[in-house]
Amino acid sequence: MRRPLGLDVVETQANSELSPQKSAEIAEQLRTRYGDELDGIYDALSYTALGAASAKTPDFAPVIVTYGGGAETNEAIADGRFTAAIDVLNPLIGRAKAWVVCQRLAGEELPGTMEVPFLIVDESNVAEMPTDAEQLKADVDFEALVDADGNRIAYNGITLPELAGGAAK
Amino acid sequence: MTTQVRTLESAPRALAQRAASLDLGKYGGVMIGLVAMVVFLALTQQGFLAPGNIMNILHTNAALLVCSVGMTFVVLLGGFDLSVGAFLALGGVILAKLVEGGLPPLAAIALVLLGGLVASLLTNAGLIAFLGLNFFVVTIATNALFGGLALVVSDGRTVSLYDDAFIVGLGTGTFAGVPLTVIVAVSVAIVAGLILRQTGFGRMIYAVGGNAEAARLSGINVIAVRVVAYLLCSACAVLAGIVMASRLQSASPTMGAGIALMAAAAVLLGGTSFLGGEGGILGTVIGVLFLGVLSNGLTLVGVSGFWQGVITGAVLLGAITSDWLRSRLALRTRRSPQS
Repeated sequence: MRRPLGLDVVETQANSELSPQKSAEIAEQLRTRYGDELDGIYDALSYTALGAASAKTPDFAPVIVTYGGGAETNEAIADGRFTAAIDVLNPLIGRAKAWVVCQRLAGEELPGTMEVPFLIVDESNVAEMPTDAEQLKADVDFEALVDADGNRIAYNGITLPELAGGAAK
Repeated sequence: MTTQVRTLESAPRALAQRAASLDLGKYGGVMIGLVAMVVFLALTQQGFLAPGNIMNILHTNAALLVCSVGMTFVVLLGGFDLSVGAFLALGGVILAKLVEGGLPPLAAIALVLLGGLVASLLTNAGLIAFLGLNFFVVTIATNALFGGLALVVSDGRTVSLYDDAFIVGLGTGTFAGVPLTVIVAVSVAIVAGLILRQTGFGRMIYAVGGNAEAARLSGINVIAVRVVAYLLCSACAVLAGIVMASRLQSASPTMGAGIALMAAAAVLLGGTSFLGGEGGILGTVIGVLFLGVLSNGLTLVGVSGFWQGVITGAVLLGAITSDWLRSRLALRTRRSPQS
């Protein structure tokens, strides 16, 4: 994994239980060891990151970034427990996968590999995120795009917010 | 002269009896392990003995302690409750839903505890005590039942409690530097210990766990004792759910996963025999501390999270083996005066 510029990764821990409780325990240990010198925590599961966020105190308020997304994650971003999340739009991706299968069953040609879009969500765009129900029920036309940007699935018919930070990808 | 010789010969036995009366035989192994771990971590890990880390260990294991205390009652009866995780999760989720719906948190807590008792009376306590059904079968079923209900109630989502000042205060607040959740857990352990040691009901639990038929013949209402023990176990599980939800400031339908086995491990480590009739709350507290220090220490030492499970499992196997050895030795000690 390429080391992110400007970041010094001081510790990596495995949440062997995949539980918020274990994340809380790990975050509390980080609080004891690093205190306010720790700038941020990246928890690879938004579900367990809620546990890490519970360790925040007035004296220990690291940036918490996570991966996954969903209603609880958006809620935590809105109220400040999380700083940002990489939202993989699970309901929409599920539908896209089903669409790909149907296309192949119908004999359509599709590229061997395709990228699926994701969003970086923070307080600037969290209010515009479609809910899980909207992602499930929106009348979306999926489209396989093959162009200079690569092979990817486009979601036409659902409004997604601009990527947080304005990055292009 | 003869008397003197007898006294000298019986001295080791007298010492053993005194040790047994202090439960040193039961707690000895786990206490030695706990002290050894603490000494090792204190010498090798800077910050292990820091007050913040000690509080982390206690705070992290408060819910486990409450759950394990409840489990002690049913294990003392020679039973077991696999559904504590489901009771815990359902309690936490319903609390979060009630608070989200605008109910005052104290009323919600009371309602959740009451609901837990009723649910247990209709299922675990009723079916095991009144109908005499196998506790494993019943609690496997109720684990599925209440675990499923937790998913239904929460719609499979984590319900936030972050906006409720009382719940957040309970989960993060301190009194004299001690987290409130720890105070709750220790209070539960003290009350449970007093119940077991100072009340007639406590003595009945030991009697029923030791020999249910003999207890029945001596006039003890075995069914009532079993009902109350399973009710206490479920109530503790629900309370553990409240403690855990307040600590995490949220409740999820899966937050009780694995806690039944951890609680059983703590009870077993603490010297309570799975055959019933032997053990107590002090041992359970020591068992929870052992598991808490082990988990904290393994993380501090930098052992991979995946290996932590392997090591914890190995420690538990050791505990089971020592429990077996202890019961064999006790049996031999009881037989030897006659031989």
